[in-house]
Amino acid sequence: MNARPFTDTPSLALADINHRAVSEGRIRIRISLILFLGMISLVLVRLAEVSLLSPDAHLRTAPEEITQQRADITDRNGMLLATTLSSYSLYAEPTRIWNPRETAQALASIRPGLDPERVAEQLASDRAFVWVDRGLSPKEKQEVFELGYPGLGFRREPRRVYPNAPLAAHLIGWTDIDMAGAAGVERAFDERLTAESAPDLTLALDGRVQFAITEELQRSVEHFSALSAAAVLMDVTTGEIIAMVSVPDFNANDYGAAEPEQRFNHAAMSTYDLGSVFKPLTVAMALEDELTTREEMFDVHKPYRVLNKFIRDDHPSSVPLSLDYVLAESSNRGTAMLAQRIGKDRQQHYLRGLGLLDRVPYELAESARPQIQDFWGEMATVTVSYGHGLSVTPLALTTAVAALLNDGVYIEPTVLTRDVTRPPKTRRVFSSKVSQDLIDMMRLTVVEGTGKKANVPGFGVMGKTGTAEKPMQGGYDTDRLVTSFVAGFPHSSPRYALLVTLDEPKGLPETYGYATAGWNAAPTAGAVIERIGPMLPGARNKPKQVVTNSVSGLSTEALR
Amino acid sequence: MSGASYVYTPVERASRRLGLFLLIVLGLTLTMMLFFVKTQAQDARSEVKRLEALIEDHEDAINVLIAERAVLENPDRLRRLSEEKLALRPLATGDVATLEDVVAPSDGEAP
Repeated sequence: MNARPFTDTPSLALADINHRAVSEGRIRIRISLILFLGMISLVLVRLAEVSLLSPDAHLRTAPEEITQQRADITDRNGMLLATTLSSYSLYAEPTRIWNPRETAQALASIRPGLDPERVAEQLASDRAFVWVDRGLSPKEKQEVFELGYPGLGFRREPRRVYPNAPLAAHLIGWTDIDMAGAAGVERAFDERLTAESAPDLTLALDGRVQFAITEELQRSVEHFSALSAAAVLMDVTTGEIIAMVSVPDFNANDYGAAEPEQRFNHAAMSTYDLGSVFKPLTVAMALEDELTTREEMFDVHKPYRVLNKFIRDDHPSSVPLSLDYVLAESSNRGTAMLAQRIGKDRQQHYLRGLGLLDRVPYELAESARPQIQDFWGEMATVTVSYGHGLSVTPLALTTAVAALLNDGVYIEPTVLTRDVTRPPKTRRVFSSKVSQDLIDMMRLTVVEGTGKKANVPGFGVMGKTGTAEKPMQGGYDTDRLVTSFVAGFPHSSPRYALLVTLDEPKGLPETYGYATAGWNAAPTAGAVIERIGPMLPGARNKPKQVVTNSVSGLSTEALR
Repeated sequence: MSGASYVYTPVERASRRLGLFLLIVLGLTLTMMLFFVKTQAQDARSEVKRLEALIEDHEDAINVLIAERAVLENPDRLRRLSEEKLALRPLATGDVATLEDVVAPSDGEAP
């Protein structure tokens, strides 16, 4: 028998080799299994941590909505005029609502504007999703949340809010339901306001002044039973619109509820024949073209005929008037004489220079074009000279008179504050001398002429009244007047131009039945200046004083 | 014969095994690191979102407070309150005096 050891056989050696390979394979499988189990354990542990142990798992981890940004609007002193707040829209999933009627009643108790019947109908519908209400405040959202009814949810939405409404509603404007600017500053600066990280938009507007003027205009509208009123206050040296008021006004937070008449910006969109407030411009044209002097006497006591029509004076003078008193007494005849000397072409040249033959070139879309006669003949030249036959907006006339008071230099108006980065566009229309002459003549009009009721001690008010009959079929309606007063102050260094316009004021016993500007627009302007004068820098008059030169002993008149 | 397989020496076999082992260890290590890094990134992202939501809530609250302050400072409200509670009225021209209105004392007169 073969006694060789078992391992020495070739077959057994092969078996040994297989055994080692199998053993190695088993070891590898075990290692892989361990690693695999380790990784599965890791995943399971993490899963448990995320699902069960995360401390903030119950909290909202992301904003509910990407909120639309829209910068705030403030007045020149930082008063907040428009801001964006979060509001909530309430929606429901009717299939998850247990008791539609009870839920609707509970919602209506929190939001009184909701109709419980309609909401119950919505909640009982077969639809998967319905909007219930929009514009819930955070407090109302919390109250609805605390009701604990299933099937109700919220979506956060931005909402434009005007905390000082109705203050300056026409100027600021409003946004539509999608937060896009729809009117006023909101519309004109829509891109600027919605830019990423846009800073607040600062207006030239002074909220306190705007409020005071609004209050005085509302008082006058009520007192004189006028249809509406408008006022514009402008810094003549910068063109900044400090206030722009239109009465009646409206609450921009609920602009949909306002009547179209309330939303209409009369200061910038209504065109009127503004009457004699045009006369300072006509006088300036004549002086600029050296067609008259302040010393010239005008024979205005006799009827003055132009073509086949007689020019009428409301306060006919029995004696000849100097140019100063033609303006102070508001003589149509004297102004007509000047207009005939100026002529159509030069008149249009100056009116164009003053911006009265085009829309006011400022930032807002609300700027009406003037209404100009198709045929501008000699008669039109005469009537336009005293403010008939050319309808312009109160804003346009304020800008023109501001040029007259600003050393004769026209400045394009703006609703934003001016700084060195935004120099105004300017052009000279009248010489400095003519500007100074008119400043003095308009002061005389307030001190001795038709604008006495606008005089406010301490503020050196200059001005001119204007009463215009409204156009009607075939002529003018003597019973329907538009009265205006254009003012400048202070006389020592004109800084502000103010125009007040009343639409169809009525005569009162205290005005002896008169409804002309001297009885309503002038006192309104006076009341406005008395209110706003103390608030405005540079508004107080610095009267001329005689200063004695100690060296020469001569007295010189100087402005302090 | 050309088809004869190459027979590794024991040293070569050992080095191959060690290399494979090290690769597996490296791969596993990197996988685990990636897992932890991704988990941390996810946590950080969640934290960022939570903080952003918190900031947004606080900004909302601040905006509401600013708007409420603006309502409280509304000129109409202040006028009404100052009339009712303080018996004040709007400023009139006569209420304001300037230095020109102050009479300068003459020589020898007590100021």
